[in-house]
Amino acid sequence: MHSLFPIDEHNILSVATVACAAVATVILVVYLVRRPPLGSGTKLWLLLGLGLLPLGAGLGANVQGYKATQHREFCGSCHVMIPHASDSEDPKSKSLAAIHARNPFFGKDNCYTCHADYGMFGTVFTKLGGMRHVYLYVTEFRNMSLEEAKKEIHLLKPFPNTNCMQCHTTAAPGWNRIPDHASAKDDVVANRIGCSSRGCHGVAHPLTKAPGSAWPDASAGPPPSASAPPPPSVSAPPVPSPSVSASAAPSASGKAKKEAK
Amino acid sequence: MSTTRSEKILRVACVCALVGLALIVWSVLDPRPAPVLLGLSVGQGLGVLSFLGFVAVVAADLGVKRRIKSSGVDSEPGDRSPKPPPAA
Repeated sequence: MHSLFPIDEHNILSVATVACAAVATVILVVYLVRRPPLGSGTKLWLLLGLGLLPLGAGLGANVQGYKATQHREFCGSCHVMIPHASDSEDPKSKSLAAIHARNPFFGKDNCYTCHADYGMFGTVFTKLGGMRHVYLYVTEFRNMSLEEAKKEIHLLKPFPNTNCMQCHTTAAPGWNRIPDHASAKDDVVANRIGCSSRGCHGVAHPLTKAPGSAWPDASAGPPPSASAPPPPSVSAPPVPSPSVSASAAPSASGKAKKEAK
Repeated sequence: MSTTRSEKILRVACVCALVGLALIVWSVLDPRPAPVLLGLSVGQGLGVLSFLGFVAVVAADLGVKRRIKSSGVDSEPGDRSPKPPPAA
């Protein structure tokens, strides 16, 4: 939980950032008040106050800001994301998102861990996408009611299975022992079938699915397959969701990202 | 660049840096979307601008000093560099 003053003994970087800013502020205020002649000594002090110390503060703030944008609380700051964040925090929820949030590897960063693109420039593209989300929120979704947002906001593109396969590798013998996995492996790898599509593991955020999709409201809840891996005895082949493979409709893959229509 | 202008630039740079630092500290203490976005964009932009102002003042000052020094060397008694012939 972020408080207004998150500085404690465990947050050295925050302390260092604020300390750099404080010392620089003192130097700059003294210069503005006293207005000393521009000699070598004054230049050295200004080099500290305008250059080195603000540079340190900026670097520290960059790292802190980068970390802050990974927290679920940050994602839930926009009201349209509150249902997703609340569901993830619910210890009784059986949605895919909540199950993963209870995994210490994901923890409070579970939104970012699942939605961050994989690959060398995945972080860069993820951050660019985040800036796009902010722009869309400010320009389009800021005054949208939550009920309306549940129908309007959807993924920009189908959720990539690559993100799931960072942990759930399709090369593991245990994964391939499940008949549905083995039969659909090529489609899963090619992203023609979503791991979180209906008939497989279920959508990750069932609370915000539009009426008419898999789970229209919170009371419906996800199917058992969403809370546990499908048993080997499951005989029905995975049902590819057209919306997963074809478009980014509101029920595309159960992972909600903001996107204009 | 005159001394008055240099001091004016430095004062503006100091004010910009103070505003930028305030935004940066705000983003650290209150990591919500608005403070973080402002601190990491406007705050750092102001910081860069203020530092560029300082660099400009220092560079101009060094240029002035270099010109003064070079003109002073030319007038030294031991200078062996060829001098132009006196005008008729």
